[in-house]
Amino acid sequence: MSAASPLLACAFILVNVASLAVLALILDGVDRKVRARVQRRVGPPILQTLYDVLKLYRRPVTRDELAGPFHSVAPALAFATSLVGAAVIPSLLPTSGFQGDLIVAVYLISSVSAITSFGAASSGIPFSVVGGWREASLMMTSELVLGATVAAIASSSGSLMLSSLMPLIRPSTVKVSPIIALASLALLTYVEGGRLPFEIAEAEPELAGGVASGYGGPSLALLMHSLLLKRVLLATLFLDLLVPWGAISNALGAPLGLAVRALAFTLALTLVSLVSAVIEALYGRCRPGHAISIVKKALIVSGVALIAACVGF
Amino acid sequence: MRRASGSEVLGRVVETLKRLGAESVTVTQEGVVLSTVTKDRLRDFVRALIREYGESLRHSTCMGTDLRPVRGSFSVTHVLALDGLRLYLLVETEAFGNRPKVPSLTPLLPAANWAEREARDLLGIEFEGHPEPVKLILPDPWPEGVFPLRKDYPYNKKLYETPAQVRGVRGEPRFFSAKPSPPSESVREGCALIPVGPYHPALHEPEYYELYVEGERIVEARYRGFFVHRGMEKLAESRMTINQVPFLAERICGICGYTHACAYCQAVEAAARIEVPERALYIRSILLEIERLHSHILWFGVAFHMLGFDTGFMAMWRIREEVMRVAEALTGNRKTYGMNLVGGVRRDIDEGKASLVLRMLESVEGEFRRFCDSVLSMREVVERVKEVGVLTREDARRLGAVGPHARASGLGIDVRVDHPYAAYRFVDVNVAVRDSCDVLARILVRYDEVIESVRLIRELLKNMPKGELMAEYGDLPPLRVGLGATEAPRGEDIHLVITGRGNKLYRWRPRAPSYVNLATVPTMLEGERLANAPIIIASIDPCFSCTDHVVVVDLRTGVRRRMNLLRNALTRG
Repeated sequence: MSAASPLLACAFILVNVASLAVLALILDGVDRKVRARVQRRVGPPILQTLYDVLKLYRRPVTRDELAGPFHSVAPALAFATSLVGAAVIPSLLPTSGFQGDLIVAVYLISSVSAITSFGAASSGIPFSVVGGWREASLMMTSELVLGATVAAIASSSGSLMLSSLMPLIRPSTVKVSPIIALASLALLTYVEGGRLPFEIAEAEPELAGGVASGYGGPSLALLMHSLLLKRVLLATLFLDLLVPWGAISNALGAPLGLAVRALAFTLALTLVSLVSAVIEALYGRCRPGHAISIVKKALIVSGVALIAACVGF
Repeated sequence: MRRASGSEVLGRVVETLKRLGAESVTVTQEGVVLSTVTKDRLRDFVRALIREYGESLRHSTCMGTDLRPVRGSFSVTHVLALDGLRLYLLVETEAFGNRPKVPSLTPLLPAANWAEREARDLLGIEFEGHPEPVKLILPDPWPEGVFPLRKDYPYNKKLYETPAQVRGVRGEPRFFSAKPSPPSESVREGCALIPVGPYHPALHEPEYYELYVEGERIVEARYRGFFVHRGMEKLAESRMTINQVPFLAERICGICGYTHACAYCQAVEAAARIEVPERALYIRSILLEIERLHSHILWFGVAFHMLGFDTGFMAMWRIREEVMRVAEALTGNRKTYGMNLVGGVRRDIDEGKASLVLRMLESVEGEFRRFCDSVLSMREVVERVKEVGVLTREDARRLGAVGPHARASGLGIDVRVDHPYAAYRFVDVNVAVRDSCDVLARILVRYDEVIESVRLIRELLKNMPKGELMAEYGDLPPLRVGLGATEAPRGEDIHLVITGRGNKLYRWRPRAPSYVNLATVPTMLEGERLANAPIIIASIDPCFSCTDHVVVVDLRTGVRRRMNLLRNALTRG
């Protein structure tokens, strides 16, 4: 269901952006709590990440004379990009969408990684540079996977519009390619979410925070927030393709349908977060080369999905 | 006594030392032979020793002493270990003058490098022919000709009295930088520099590694330590009596302090010929093993954290907590037990406490085995540590590695077996040795040692005899040399003392195991990937506070200055 009037559409988008921005922080708190429970710790309060970010915003802005100009702009740019991503991708509430919004979404999500790694590369701090390099090499491989996956899904459903893509429902016959593609997208959501064992760009014991090590105060808050938002956007994209949300809200009719959809979507995001946190607690950090080789295997899988989709499976 | 042929071996060694040109040879204590050699003959003597004993001769440490108030000279005492023969050879040489010179042994025994430089820094003894005659311990701007461990340097003298003096004559801030010596031009030009330290999440104490990297590959690694000087030797020699020093010695390390207290007490007991009651020896051994348990389990936690596996980190520290509680029940303290005095121990382990220990062992052994077995069966974990940070047997031997670190490189040395002390002469210790020389081997050696410690504590508790806890003794005979060696969780811990008058120490020289193990780290880092650096550094279980305890530096080195050091390194990189 799409909003009828432009005003309502705008309101829907605003609700989406605001709730994803807040959810990103709260879900990280949930993650931390879950990880703590797995490790038999009490863990921080669920709102801890929110408190952290708010605290960082109140800190003075520091400037590093060694850093290039892009370094200080990068967090704000990354945050803005992820907010635009949250506006484009339908989440709690449906957005009217446009032909090709799928490509825009993929582009925006990749941009957050790209901006972060460029920002880190121009910091002049060796740890940051190495972290940025790791982020970039992981991104370049995983964006290929994302591209191939999305192309496979789009080609099997014959659309590039997120709201009309329901790869598991639409086709009258069951197809193989969307299932493979979604599996590979699930892996990618995890990898690009910067979770262990793929959390190699920050790698605290090795790189002292890596990409984030040059930032403090509000810039660190923005960077943290945009990386967490990127994580949520990836999960949102995955959920959009997995579950026919439009069908759910249409079946119940507005406003009940919308409310149910928003609630269900939030729960689904939380579930993705919970599952990821449990997996994360069971792993250590892998070597950068190893992480990339795992993603390369996913690339082969999504390549297979793309070929299968092209020949009609 | 398990070795029947001990006296024969000793006789043969004494003969050999005389034949090779020692001026005098005395057996100062069980398993320790002191030979004096003139400085012109020192190198030939040691060269002949190397020819005679080959691989089994290990340079353990050396102690410089300002003997001018008593003998008018400086002395340098090298400690050479003959692990196979269960002997320590002390080789003493004298040098006169205000800037005394003795030949360096580093060209013959590379493991002597740091110890000689330390004597050079602190006592102003020049080592002729030393391949790396640069400062080790004192910060680079330390004034020339000021040697804090000389007897004419008052322990409470402040080098700079006012902030203006600290800033220097021209008002320039004195950067108390301690940079490693730079690598070759080509490495400096072609590689990026990653400064690990003085503050870095992988280091829990301030140390400084300079890693020169190409992409993610480490081309060269440089190390500089000794940022945290506490002046313990000077303090003990100037202000403390022999029974106060055990408590200071215990504070050398926050993890393995008790082993230092034991080594110190053993050294004084040996010098003063004090017979410690057997029950006290058993209690010392039990506590040493409890300390090893907690230290190794702590290390497993740290190692897992370095691998990003925090669930393992938390699990290990949870298991360790039980060991800490038992330590508290036995000694009153979770750490820094405060149990030792020269001549014995201060508290008994009664049956109630013994059963507490046994209960703890039961659960710790079970939980530790269960958890580590499951982790070590994970392919991801094993792959991250296999063939990483290799230290070959030859390098380990050459650089004088000790403890689990040496045992993981195939060297079967363990002070508990090679130079039995405390109650280890009454029990059999199984030495865990692995020969894959990598981080995995170091993990497995420590795994075996945890299990072995549990077994040892059980056996010691079972066999502990009844009796006194303290020996009775009178005043200390002055100017006697004593050596105490223990197998700390990280390896051989050596304390050398020279007794003084009035129940004080004339000289005290502790040498922690990390002191020698740290010197092997750059060798292990070179050619490795950057991502492996933290686990490689952690794999020797480095204890910086142990290593750094020795010097008097009362300079207010603020955080900002250190940051400047980092900044300098960055702009250069």
